[in-house]
Amino acid sequence: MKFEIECAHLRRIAGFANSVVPRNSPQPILANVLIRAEEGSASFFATDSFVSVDAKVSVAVARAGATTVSASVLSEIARKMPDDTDISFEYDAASERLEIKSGSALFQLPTLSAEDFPIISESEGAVVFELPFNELKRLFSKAKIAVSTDETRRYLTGVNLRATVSSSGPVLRCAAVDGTQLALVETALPDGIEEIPSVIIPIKAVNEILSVLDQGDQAVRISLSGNLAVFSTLFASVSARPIEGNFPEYERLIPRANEIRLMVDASLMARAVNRVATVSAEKSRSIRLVMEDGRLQLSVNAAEYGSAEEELSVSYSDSRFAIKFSHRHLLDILGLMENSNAIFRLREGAAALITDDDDDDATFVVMPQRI
Amino acid sequence: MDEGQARTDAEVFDIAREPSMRPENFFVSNANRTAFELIADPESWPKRKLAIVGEACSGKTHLANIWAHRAGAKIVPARQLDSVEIRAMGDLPGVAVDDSDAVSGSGALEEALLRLHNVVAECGGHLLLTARAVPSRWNIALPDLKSRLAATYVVSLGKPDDELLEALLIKHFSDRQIFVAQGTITYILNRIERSCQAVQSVVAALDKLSLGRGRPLTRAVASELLSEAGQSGLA
Repeated sequence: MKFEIECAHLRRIAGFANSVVPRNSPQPILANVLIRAEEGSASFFATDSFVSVDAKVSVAVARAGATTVSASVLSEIARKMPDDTDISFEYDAASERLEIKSGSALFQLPTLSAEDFPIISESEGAVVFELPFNELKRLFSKAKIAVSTDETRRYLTGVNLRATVSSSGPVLRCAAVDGTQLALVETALPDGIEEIPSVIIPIKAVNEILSVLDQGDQAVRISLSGNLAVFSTLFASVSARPIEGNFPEYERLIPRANEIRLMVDASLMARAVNRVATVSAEKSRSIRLVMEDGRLQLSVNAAEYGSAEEELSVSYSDSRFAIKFSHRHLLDILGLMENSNAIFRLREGAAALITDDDDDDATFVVMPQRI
Repeated sequence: MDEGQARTDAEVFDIAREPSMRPENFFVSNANRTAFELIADPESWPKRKLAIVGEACSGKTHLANIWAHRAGAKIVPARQLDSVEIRAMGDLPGVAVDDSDAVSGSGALEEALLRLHNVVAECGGHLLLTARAVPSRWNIALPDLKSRLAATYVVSLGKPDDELLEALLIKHFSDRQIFVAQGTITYILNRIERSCQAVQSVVAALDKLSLGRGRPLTRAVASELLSEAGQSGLA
């Protein structure tokens, strides 16, 4: 195997591979990236057995072949090379070493056989459709704020994808819930698709999709089945084994009967929350909102850290209402609504329904904290 | 409220699933072996009637579900007996009435249970009752129903042993899709009241508290939460 690749390409691809490989695995070869060179292109494949990334780049191939090499070392080498250089790869089968050269720098790296590398077979999914990358990005980046990090509840550590029917008709819906907040983001169901199996895409795969496939607003081909989800463009693909488990039936968690309405500039509120939360006690992380006569008062009162309050002009005409939220939840949600208004629908003793005035297809539900 | 002095928990969504009633999720122990064997052999029930009696959360409904699934029988909660078509029950191989002692004191429910007895008996079906107390102790007003209940064969679920409590603890966490390390299971088991209901309650409380605080259910968290729960009289 022998080819040359631009440093910028290698840096990007090796970075993807390095973020996927497991840090500690009983299978040493999983710490490696599989490099394959064939007619005019080189591909770099890395996996942790659950999530895989395969990125291809056009290169001049002098000799086809394949080998595997440490993903972290390759990423580090690419990171330290000057930008505008070409890097040559040459695998010597006799010594089983991969030689990487750029200018006068030479690395000879140990390899493991490409034949031993575990590749997840990508048979066609039960459902295949396409979405523009920017739409997929909107779905995933908004839904993922509610993904749980709790590894004892694995079924909450991903984004659920399913077809359903909303008030606007058949939709593809992404949902995430962590016990105290729920995010739902929808887009029109692609033409010709009626059923989509309910799958939970692990957050690691979601993050890889958002970075690896971010190469302009090209079409992303999505192939879903019960045991494999593949998201691919012409030059890269991310595949994942969906998380086993039953995603919560979240419809009943949406407080559609909330009648108290508050509308506020999302950016102004986010900045105010951030300022006031400076003195929030680490354990409670809560912020109190009091709304009355077109005004919203945000306050924190923590014995150890002090107190803070700030007031905003808002659109609010109901009677005085007070509620407490985690400031982290508020910041995450408001941060998705730049240059827009956030609409809160509230009710005594109920979760808050929060929507973006500019995006009817994204809904957030946040549980209050005890006052 | 001063947040620096008291931890503020978020309210949490109720995302728990219905508990599994599948046969493979029923743990057979000395406390329930006789009942488990009896539901596998309904032809051995005297007069084709059986009452399973046991404390709350001891597995009565699970046993009724296993039997109903195998026999093609229907399960009716006792409180809904007055709203079902009793006559149609005769077309079934059998009927299980869950929480049967709930009919006590309700004229309409007692009437319905009596008619059910008669219909099932006439049609040659099987009748399974579940209850917390033996039928002879129910406060039944209808003499005919009282005598039929008194003639029902009773199997009681015994006090749960450690093996059963551990299996129950694992099942309740599994029903909620929470994967808890064995060390944490043992830790919790050694610190709770020895009853099936206590196991169910402690799992629900730990689930809610850990969700509200956004922390995984590790042994350290269980220790912290059980200590607080103990102060509120839970553990």
